[in-house]
Amino acid sequence: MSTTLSEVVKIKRQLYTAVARLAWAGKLEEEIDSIPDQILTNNEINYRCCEHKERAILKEKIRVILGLPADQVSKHDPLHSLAATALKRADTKHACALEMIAVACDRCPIDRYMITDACRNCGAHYCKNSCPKNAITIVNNRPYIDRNRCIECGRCASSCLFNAIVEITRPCEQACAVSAIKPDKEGIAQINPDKCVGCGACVNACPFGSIGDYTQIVPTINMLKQADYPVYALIAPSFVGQFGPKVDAGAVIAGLQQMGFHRVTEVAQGAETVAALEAAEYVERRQGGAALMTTSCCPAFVAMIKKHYPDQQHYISHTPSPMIQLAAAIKAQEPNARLVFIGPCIAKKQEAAAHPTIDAVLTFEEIACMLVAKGLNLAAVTSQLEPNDAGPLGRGFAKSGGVAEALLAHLSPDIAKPKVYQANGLQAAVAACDQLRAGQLVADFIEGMACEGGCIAGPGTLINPRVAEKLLDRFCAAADISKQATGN
Amino acid sequence: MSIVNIELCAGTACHLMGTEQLLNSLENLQKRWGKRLHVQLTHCLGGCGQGPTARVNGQLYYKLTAEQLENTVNELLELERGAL
Repeated sequence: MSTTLSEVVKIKRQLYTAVARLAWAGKLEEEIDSIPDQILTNNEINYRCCEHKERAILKEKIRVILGLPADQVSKHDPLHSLAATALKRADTKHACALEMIAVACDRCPIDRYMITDACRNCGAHYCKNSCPKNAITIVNNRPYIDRNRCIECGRCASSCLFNAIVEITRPCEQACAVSAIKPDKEGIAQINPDKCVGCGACVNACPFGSIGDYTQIVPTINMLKQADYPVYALIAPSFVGQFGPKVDAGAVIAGLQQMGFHRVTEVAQGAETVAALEAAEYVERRQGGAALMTTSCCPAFVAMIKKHYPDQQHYISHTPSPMIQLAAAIKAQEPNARLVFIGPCIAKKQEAAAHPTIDAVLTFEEIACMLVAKGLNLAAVTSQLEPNDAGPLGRGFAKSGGVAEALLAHLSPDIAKPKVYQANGLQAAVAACDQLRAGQLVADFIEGMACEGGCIAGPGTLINPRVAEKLLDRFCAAADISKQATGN
Repeated sequence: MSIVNIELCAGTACHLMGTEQLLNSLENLQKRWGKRLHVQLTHCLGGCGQGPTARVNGQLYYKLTAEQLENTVNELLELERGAL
């Protein structure tokens, strides 16, 4: 999350809250049609041509919040029938959690290559001559790019000796480290699901807020409203500080219990087990002659290797992620329980789609809106609770470097200290894989995190990552060292 | 020398709408005005749904932006300096 809070983010949060409020009241179908008007009255939204378009966009955003992909419903369906469809769905998880909302995409009229005033109007006309489509003509002593012919190959830009032709990319494309976003013929950006790893970087990058991630707000509220089974919250270690300066860790847990969760457990507990298992796996692999091992806890990092570097996927650790590890432990105790993961992550939504033990995944942003919708204010919750499920190593998983640190701590001193490579951010991870392929990366252990800085900088967070890091360090320092897992 | 009292709402509804941004700008303001600026975090000012909310010298402000807050505080304190 960036340090400034844009209007599009505020509107997204208002939509989350409005949908959640109706779901809590059991009036989703009856009143959902009024949400776009509410939002339009409450905000001055005038980014688009007219109010009708704004309304159409709001409607599509609500569809995404309901977790309904565009290709599974008719675009003429009114919101109340979309709500009815959403309420009937049995499987509410998504193997691909991101959607480019076509009507919201502003088709950024960014012509990828632009001739600037740095053009000296030379006589060589390298730009014109390099163009394979004859898209460049000289008009009034200045090259002119015919947009209908230009295929955006970039040869003109690289041919110009004055660098007078600049390349401008769309913010979504620029944010995507795996080149999964490309405009279609109409200029509407498209996410290629075969390439997308679900990191969610594009969601906050788009200045129009036109990329949405499917939510499980409504099914989670419905789970919490019934009494047939207990619902557990599995909360990711990056949660400290996310809910504001007056909300400590205990208040978050107490607030979630007031909201209806039977128990709230730190995912860091699962991370403790992962650290021990991964260290043992590392030793075993090395003894078996394996060159290196990568972490497996970041689902976007794992998906990136599987989709883009399948030749390297045998390097990925087989240890399940902390979320899955903890889910298995809870299910073993209470098979009847429903489990909701709460974290900073969009890729976790995709990871959960392949794991039946996890019933829902919510971001901090989504859960905060659900709390507000229920009239709960975490700043007003007083609690003596102090979460005590994990030690410092497990909690440290939330920041870049933390997983490697935990692994090293679990290796016995007689093992040669592994050379650790920190792939901090998806771009760095892609670069590492490239180097690995070229045989240029010297490392025994790669810690991969798709978000720069680690989970504390995830797309579903609510505070500045730098603030979050300080608070996390404090939270780790306060952890009970005896909760650390022992090697097994 | 008078003091400007600011109560900033850190309730969940306001936090979601940008309390953190206001807090950042208050830190900058405190660098300029020092002890003349009194900042307190509160858990609710009753403006849920119209956040972020702050009370400046007793007056409530809704949907406050960092820029508005800075202008309001600077105006109050500069006015006094001019009058002296």
